[in-house]
Amino acid sequence: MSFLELTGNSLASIVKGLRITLRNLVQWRSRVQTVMYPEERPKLTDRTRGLPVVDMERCIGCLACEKICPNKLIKMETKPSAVKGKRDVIRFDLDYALCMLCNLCEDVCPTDPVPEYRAIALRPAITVVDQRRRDLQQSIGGRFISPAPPEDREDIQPLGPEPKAKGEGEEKPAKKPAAKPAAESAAASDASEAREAAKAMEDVALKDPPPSEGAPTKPSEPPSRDATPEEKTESVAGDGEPVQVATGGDQ
Amino acid sequence: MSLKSVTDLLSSEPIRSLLYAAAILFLFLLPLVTYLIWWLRRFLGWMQSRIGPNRVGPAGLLQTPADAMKLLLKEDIIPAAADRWVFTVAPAITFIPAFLVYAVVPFTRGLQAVDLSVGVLYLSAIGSVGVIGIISGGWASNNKYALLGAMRSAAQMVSYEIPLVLAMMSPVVLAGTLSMRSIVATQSPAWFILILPTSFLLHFIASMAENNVTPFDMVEAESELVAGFNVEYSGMKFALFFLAEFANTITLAAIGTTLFLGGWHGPLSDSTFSLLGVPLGLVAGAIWFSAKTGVLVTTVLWVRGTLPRIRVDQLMDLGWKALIPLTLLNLVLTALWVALDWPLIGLAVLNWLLLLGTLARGWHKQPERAVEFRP
Repeated sequence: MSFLELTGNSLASIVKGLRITLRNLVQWRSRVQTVMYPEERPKLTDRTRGLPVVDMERCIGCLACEKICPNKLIKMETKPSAVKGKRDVIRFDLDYALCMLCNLCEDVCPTDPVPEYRAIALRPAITVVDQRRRDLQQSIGGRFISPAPPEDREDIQPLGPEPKAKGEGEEKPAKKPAAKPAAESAAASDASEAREAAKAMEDVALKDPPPSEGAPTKPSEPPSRDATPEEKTESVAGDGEPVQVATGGDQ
Repeated sequence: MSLKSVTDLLSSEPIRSLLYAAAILFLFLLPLVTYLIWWLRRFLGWMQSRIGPNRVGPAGLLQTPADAMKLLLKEDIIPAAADRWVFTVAPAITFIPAFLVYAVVPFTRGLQAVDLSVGVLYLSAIGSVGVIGIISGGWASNNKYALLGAMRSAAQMVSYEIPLVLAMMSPVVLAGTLSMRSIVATQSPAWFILILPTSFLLHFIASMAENNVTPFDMVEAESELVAGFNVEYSGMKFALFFLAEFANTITLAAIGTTLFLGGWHGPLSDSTFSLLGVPLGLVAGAIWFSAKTGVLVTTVLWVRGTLPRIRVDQLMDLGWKALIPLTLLNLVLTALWVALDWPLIGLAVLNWLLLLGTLARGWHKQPERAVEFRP
């Protein structure tokens, strides 16, 4: 390449580069990536996958997800059940701070061929955006629910007591008809009521833990950060009843 | 001292120049430099699909004043091992020449602090003083990164002073004078960029390198030298270096405007009409000058947002093997044309052919390897 060609080539490539930045500048309004966080929220698409959420109705206690979890963030305790091919779950902990959204727990869950209906699945009920330490999962009366979503998020709903009415929101897959406990039939179907219910149950869970034998830490006071889940979750209630479990630091 | 003697003193030539200069500096340049920083951050943000500072004040307009206040109030640290005196004086050595240059810049017809008969010489002389501040600041910091930045700066300044002055010489030869005002006045029918586009381009590149603007910011090189020569500076001393850098950016645009873009020339700038005692021509001239300078400054930022930093050896290659021969060739051509009194249109055609021909020659070529200049 001659000197002239090289010079021309350099100049030409600079001009081409300038053209690219100019195009960015002119169309910056459509290209801007920044989300002004407190005022705006990231727009979630219909297919947004959230964090793994457990549906205790469907869980058979096979421990497959606990075994495959690469970050070992699932901690389960089971005991033999009266039903054949099933074990009762006493404790089911998820530490979302460690989750890397690998989807393996959903993949191995044997409870349903359709991923959305499996016992553990990545559901938009809790998204990474909303992940906070107090988002750690809690169970009340046999169901594991997530805390209430922020007030301005109508599009996500807690996986609380199963709503009676179907089709209240497209994001949430319509549940397959299943036998429901009678206690749950009274659950609220409205989104706000569900949120209130979730909140109330969260409060109940935090303030009035079931009486336990020899629990080392009182659930009302914040457990220390380095406490293992076993130390925190000693409360075991009556027969076959999974018991609320509160993991996480600052509750 | 009577009032009359005071007004006499104020209207005497040197004092009036001084007052002009002070007024230009404090009413016009310092706010301008402050807002250039804001404009840089917004403009680069848009180019990079970001928003840029928009929280402090409407559209982030109060961001830079807030930053300036912060820098003023910050602790002024002098490292224990530093050379105290040199360390303290260095920012001033860089800051003062950056604003001294404006003494000879004609903002509009007649609005010029002082019209030196050797204006261009003054420009290049004052322009190279700033590097002394950079070198002494880097040396006095007693820090290896600072010293490396300062040494790079020395090499860069020595290399690019030559093509810069050679590129400035072409319009001087055309105008036949070194006075800035006369150079602008000579460009009345045709701006020198129309006659000497290559010279303008080379001057632009060389002055960007001289002022450490981003493709040539070897002196700071955040990714290599942390912050280069000013790594140990904090508080207002750092702010002086920072302001000097941006003042230099405006300076290079103002000089480019004066030498090549016709200064304050433009539609209405020659009109003698005056509206309510305000001479329309002067206002139009000032607006034209500001507009051209603004466009050049924005072009500098545009280049800054586009090109990555070049390597030190590439910098030396570009300076010694490409810019100096080309500017020298251009100067000789211009001098030949002026000496033999050939029509200038021929020089213009030759220059444009050279520029566009070079561009067309390399437009569709793929470089065989990383670009390296081999004349």
